[in-house]
Amino acid sequence: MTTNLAPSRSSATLSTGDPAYRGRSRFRKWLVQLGWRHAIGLVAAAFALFPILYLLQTALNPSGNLNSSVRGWLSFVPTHPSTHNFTTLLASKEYPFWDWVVNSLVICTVSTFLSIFISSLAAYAFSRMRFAGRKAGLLAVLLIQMFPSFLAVIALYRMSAAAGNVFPMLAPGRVSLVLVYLGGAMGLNTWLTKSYIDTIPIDLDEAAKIDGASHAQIFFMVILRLAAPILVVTAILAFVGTLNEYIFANLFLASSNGIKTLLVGLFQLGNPYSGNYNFGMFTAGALMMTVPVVALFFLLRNYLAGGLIKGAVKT
Amino acid sequence: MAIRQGAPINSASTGRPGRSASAFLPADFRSLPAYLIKVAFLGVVVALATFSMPRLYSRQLWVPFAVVALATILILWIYLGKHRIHLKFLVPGTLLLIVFQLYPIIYLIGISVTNYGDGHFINKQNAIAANIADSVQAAPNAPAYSLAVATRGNPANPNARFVFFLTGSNGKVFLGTTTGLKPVSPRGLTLAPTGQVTVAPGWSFLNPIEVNNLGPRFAQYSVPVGHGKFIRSVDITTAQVEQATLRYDQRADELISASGVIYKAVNGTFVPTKGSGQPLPTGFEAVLGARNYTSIVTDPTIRGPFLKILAWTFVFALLSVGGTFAVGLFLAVVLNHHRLRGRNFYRSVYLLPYAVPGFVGILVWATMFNKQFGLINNLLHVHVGWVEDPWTAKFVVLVTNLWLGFPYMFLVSMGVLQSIPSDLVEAAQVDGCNGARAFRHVTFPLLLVTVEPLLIGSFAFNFNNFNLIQFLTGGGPFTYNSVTAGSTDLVITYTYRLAFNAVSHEYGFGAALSVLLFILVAAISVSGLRRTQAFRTMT
Repeated sequence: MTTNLAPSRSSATLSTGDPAYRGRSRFRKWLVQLGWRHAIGLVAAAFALFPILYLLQTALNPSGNLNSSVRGWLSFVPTHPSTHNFTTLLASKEYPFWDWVVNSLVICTVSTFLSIFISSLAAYAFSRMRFAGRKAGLLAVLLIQMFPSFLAVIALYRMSAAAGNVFPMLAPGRVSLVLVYLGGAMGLNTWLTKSYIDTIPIDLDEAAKIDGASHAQIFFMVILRLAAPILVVTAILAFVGTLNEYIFANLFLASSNGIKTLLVGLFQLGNPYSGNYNFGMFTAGALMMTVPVVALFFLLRNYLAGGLIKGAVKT
Repeated sequence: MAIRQGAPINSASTGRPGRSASAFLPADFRSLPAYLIKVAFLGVVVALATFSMPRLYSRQLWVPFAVVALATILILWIYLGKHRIHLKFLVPGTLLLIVFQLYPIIYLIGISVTNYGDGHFINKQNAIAANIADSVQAAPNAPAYSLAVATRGNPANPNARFVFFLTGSNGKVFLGTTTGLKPVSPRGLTLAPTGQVTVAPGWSFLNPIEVNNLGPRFAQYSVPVGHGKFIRSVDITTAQVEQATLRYDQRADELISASGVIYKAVNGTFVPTKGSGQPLPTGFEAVLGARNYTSIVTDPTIRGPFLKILAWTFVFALLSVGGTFAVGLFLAVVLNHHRLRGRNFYRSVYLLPYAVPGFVGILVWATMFNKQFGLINNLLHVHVGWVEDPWTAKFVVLVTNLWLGFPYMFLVSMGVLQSIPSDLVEAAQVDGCNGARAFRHVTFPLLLVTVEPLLIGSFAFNFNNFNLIQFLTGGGPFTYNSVTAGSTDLVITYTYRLAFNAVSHEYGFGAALSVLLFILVAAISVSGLRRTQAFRTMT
């Protein structure tokens, strides 16, 4: 970009009084102060964008044929845009896209809502109360999450299957999947929320207390409202995290003739090692999944940066 | 104290409101909605308990019964009391944590000291029975029978009880049941030309399809005839006398084959006591103690690949954190200039890789690096098998992870940079620091204090970054001298393959590896966190 702006005339032909020279020196100043920043920024922007442009292009490329989707630099321009991949995916009976979407939405919304609520309850206790085992509890909450839990799927699956013999509702399926996700409710989110609540002046609690508020009322009326920014951040991260979960979703929804989650469903289309590999359809589905998530991130991007930092330490 | 008793001590100082109009209500009654929510919540808990406990009791599931009972009592005790307020807030998450995280971990630790896995899924008694059943062969000079299957019930029901009608070569008919063989009087019987009974009074005969529907119940049906021999079906119309070549000596706890080889159980596997013959095919789940753990160190065939993978896991996690942080911070510093236009544009663009669901990004990168139709090869006019060479595959993994991770670091660094008061930096510059020195000695240390915990979190996350490796390279490429350990394998993907591979299921060893992995990550994270400012202020 910057090279395009560079004048083509050679500097030797210019005298200092020449207005073109003054323009040039101003440009040079701009180059030294800001221009190089733009150059670096644009290189990074290209790096950030090109897989996304490629995704966009492949989704709009009618053939769905990989060889034809790669045409050098033209690969970033949908030369013959069409909605073919989208209509094929949405019309296919084998891949019930909308059922996956609804399934994922239900699972992610329920588990996000409950887990944020449970996690902020705990965060309130950790932040505002002093009790035996508080420090150990905080550390344990963080450490337990670090256990590579995928092997635990065996234990959890057996547990769910055994419970399903007595209570059919708890057999591997949506309900048990949400419960398994809720097992991780007290984790990193609790830490982030706790650190954020630490920054809310305790005078506010005291004032509410003097007005006769109970702990529950302080929590619901004061803390939850003031902690809204971090709750938004943890909720997005929890929602996207659940949306991106593969191992448990794959196992718990596979046995029944139930509906897959969006990720498990799309993965069979996008996995180059799978027999159903269809990259065109995958990109169409992936794009439809990506757009709302990206929109959400954009709407809340100011919260996001602030929340991540404020949650990390008390300031 | 006595003096203060009479003093008009206000309720505010104790945090309790004075009683006025609501004096007749419970002391902790403060608002109707809150009270109703509490009652509803406890009502649901009690309802769930009364619904589930009789069921668990009638099925004699004592452990779950006790767990539900204890949990219910605990919840009622905590929420009906006025004290233990912190527990009221901690109980929901803690109960879920215990059931869905802690219990599986304890279960896995239990498995990690056993050989649970291929050939070792069942208990000893069943393994002995399975080996004896596997050793069954036709007895020498075994008489053959023509076979018909009959039932007193509905022949179309695959779960109905059935018997064997067996016709010997001399035309005599026997009734074979699981208790033995007894002769049948020929009155009322009709025999097919090939010998099978087709009509017998009081019995319905199964047609071939119905016999087939019985499945393993038919195949495993055996009629004992004494001396360790029994009659079993050969196909749906014939049966023969068979004999197990193995027998179990209960007193010596040995399995003895017909040829006299003695098998004894060692660590859940039946091995010959003499010589170096093959062990029996079916073993059982046995406690090995620390063997799974020690074999990681002592067994060179395990130690070699494991150490290689462990080293790469560390390198990968360090380079990932270092790379993403360096790029993110560099961009934040470069773009954090008050006169730079388009800062919002850059911020929005850099947010994109963070916002795109991780697996979508990973699969797009995997496709771009494809050898035949990948975009990268196409643009560079080369024909490189990126994920086929150990070194380029590592490069692919790191580049993809840089793309996935730098936006987060940028976002955080940018936020922190903007929150650092500018007068601090200006003061340093007044004191004669140039821009670089001011950054090194003022800005960077302040920034590091804030992001340290995030860097440690990122390290722990990347140490176990399962999705990236699994979706991008599958742990590969695999070379001739390491078939099980891939060049980009992290400990976690290696363990996953050991446990959930199509050909092998080494749960015991996999569990031991994941326990070890947990100890490693936890130790690193705790020792790292302890040094951070955030941790010190927390405690």
